[in-house]
Amino acid sequence: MDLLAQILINGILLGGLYAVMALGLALVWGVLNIVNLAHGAFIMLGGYLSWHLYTYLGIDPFLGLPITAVVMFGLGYCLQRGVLNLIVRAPMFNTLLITFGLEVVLTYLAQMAFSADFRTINPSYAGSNIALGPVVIPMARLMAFGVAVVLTVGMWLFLLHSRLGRAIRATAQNLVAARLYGVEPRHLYAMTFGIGIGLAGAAGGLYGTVSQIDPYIGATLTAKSFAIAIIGGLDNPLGVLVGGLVLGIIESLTVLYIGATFGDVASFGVLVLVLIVRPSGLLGKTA
Amino acid sequence: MSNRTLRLAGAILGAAAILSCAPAMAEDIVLGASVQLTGPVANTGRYYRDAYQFTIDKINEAGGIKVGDKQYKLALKLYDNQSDVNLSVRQYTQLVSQDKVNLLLGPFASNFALADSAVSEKYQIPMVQGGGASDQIFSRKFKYIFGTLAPASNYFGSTVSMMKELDPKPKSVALLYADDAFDVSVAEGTRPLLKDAGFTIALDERYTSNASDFNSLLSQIKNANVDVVLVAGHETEILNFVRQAKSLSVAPKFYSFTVGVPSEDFRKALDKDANYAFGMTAWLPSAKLKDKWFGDAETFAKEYKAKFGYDPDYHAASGAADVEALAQALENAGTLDPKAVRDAIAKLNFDSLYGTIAFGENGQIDLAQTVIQIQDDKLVAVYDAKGFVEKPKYPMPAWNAR
Amino acid sequence: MAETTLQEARATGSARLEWALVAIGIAALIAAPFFFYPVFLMKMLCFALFACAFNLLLGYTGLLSFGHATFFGGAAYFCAHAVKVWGWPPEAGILLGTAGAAVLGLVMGFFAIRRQGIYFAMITLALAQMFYFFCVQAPFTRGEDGIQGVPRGHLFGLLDLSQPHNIYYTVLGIFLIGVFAIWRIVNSPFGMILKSIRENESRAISLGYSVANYKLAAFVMSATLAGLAGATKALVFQFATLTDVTWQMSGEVILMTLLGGIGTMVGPIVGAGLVVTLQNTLATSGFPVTIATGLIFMVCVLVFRRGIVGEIYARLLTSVGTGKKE
Repeated sequence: MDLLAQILINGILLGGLYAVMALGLALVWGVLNIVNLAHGAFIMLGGYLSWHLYTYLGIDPFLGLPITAVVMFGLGYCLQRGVLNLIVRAPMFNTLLITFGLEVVLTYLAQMAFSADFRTINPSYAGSNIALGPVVIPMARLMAFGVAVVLTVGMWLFLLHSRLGRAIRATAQNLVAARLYGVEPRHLYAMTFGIGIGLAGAAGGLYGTVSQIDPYIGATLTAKSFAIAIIGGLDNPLGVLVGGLVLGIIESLTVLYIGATFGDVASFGVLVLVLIVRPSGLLGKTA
Repeated sequence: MSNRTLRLAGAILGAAAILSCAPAMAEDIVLGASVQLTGPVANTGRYYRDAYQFTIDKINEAGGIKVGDKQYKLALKLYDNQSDVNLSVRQYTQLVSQDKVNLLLGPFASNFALADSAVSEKYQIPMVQGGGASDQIFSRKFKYIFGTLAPASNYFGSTVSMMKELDPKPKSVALLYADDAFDVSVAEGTRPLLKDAGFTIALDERYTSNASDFNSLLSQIKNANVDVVLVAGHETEILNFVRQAKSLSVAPKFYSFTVGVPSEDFRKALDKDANYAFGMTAWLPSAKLKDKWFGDAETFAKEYKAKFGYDPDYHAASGAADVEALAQALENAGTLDPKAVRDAIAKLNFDSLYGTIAFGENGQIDLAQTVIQIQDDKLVAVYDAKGFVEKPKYPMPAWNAR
Repeated sequence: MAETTLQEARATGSARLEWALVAIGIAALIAAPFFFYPVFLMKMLCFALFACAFNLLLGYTGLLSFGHATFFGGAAYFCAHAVKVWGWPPEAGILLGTAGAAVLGLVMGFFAIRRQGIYFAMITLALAQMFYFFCVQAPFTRGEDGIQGVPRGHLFGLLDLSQPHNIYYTVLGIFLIGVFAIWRIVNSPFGMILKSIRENESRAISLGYSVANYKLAAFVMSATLAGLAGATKALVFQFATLTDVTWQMSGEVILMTLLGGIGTMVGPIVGAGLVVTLQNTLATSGFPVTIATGLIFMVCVLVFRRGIVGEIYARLLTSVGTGKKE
């Protein structure tokens, strides 16, 4: 029983981390219709940024998250304006190709710049934990989970209530109508992409505190984010949180009851099931 | 239009032909290899690239090697296999059939060596590889593959012997291993060792390579309250394992890992948390290991560090030994004929910076593993074939009692 | 009216040109092994066929599958296992691999065709990942090591395939048969219906076609031909490994097809040739391969939006069009 409680806690905390990873991907996908295959690479860059801030400037990774997010936002904004705007209305295939190219280039540049060594962001509290009776809650994961919830709810409120957020949602639903209301799409696209990449950067910082960063983590993280975004649905940031939690819990339980090699199968099984039964995601509007 | 396409295709094919036909320098003996310079295992692949080049340069500085009555220099033809097995097979095929290299050096990792040795066997060009330890590589009765890593099945051999002598003696063991050729071999070899030594295997779990979340497995370890945890995996998984063990307060009396512990990278990434971790190495940079070209292993390590900026570990030493084995065998054979060189390799028996190089019947070297532990941020040899070298820090204290 | 005759005239003209080019192409392929490294050429042919098979689905039916590695790699495993372990002759191994891919295609297609667009892609990806996992675990694939040292044997008990030229011409034959089959499918009434589904699915439904069945048929055909390419590849390289069933392999074939140009017969062949050549030259040149490939993809997307061949076709058509008008 204690073990089950512990595993559930593990799954929930893991799910929170998953949710932050997928948040930016889902936003960009939902609004710009770009399936960003380089998303994981941006998480990786965010991780390195946090690592540098922590190692060379001594900035705590959690306090450094806003810095990382802002820098990554800038990068995303520029990339969208400079490169990706050229293909924003192009077929999905082309966006796949270009973001794939981007992922390859970013990964390679990261290896040149940072070497293939593993980097960990290891502040003193990273290994500490809170014991609740027999159940242990790792500190760093709990904090990451907290950040995840704050970011998700923040995104949700932002999209629902702020002017920019409404404009973004309007563009996602109907570009022509949004234009009539004076929305400037190029700026808006760049803002959206920037926010998406900023979120990826923040996720990278969190990832570095609970796991380690090397130039090649991107592809796996993209795949994971993908699955989460689909399970949760693209319409609503809260869906992504649900998707992350579902995946985290299922993976943890699978490892416990079936075996450690079956974690991935379980998550893809859930993915197929969701796609067949509820293709717009658990919290998405039914098709 | 399609003319243009054709011309484009023609130009590309032409360029391909020119690039792939670049001639090797005359009067050099060319050693070919394909190594992971990029991709997820580039981190370890670099040991081989650097060790190969370093040793070849060193031998050339000393005037090269004498084969028959002719003096030759060595040259290296190295490709990057991008951590892709298929690509590495193609590159080895290219090395032997197109580039016509004289002899082959190996890639890193068992699954690569396993695939690539099929090429050397087919073309009957000997390959001496220091990156694949899985027993499967050597159980196929291949004649042209030689390995300088100790057998995977015996990686935990010395560790299990030491566990028997620990006080208090541990009882239950958890064995975790990744699902690739090398680690499966390790697990298969370790199970009978543990049983024979009277330990109970409380948890025996295979996990997916590159797994990043060990929380569930760690919770099970904690729940089963095992004394010893043995992990056969890759460095990235082991780093995750240790960090997550700390964050969940999982502290068995003893844990040991197949890779990572000897490398500097590991200690840097974990900092103080690396302490108490056990591991094994078949090589330590000791001045007792004499070498024809480097003097001894200590000098090798020093010069290596000065040149590349990081400490060599057993991968690097094994890579260097591969080059030396080929050089020595060429001199002994007195000819460049691959078959004669193959026979000379099989008969080798010489001292190198890596230890005595002499291959068994199956082509694999047999070196004893020394148990090592990280004590106060330093790598310490604690147990070898002769017994305890240094007192192990055992049992490992709880994470909050360090 | 004038527009149609113009198009017809152009069509017959370009058809003649195309036939000439096809003849030249085949002649070049027959002569090629005397000038180039046969293994490299065979790799190109296998991937070209794979890309053409993929294009049958993406280019002519409009379905983006992210799981085609399953058919390519699965067929490679079946063929390698049959030839190596059961000692089957090569032609039987290839047939088994192809048939196995067809079955896998039927299963995957059954689930996938219920969804469209990116959701279709996702189902195929997820199912392909599950097949990958099956391959990691199943004993007959020998996990990470794959099936090594597959003998090439004698084709129909006569032709010794261990001879480089024999195997090359066998592979070329398979390639030509495969491409011809695709060409026949595309230009049959069946192919026309597929194209109409691609252009306007609801219209096709309202015309009374059972779209789901057509899609499934196209999916299975594409899978079968991809399997043919995979099984042949297993014989050429004499091994079948996990790399062939990874999602990266699915990604690679997408890239080849898009790079060449979807919905054209030649496009995927050019794309495959380009990608394989790039990989080979760069991988053996010491030049940083990965970054070059990445940059090339990005540039291609920005410059040739319809793929290289697609773009050339489009430019040609517009230039001919404007030329006639002037």
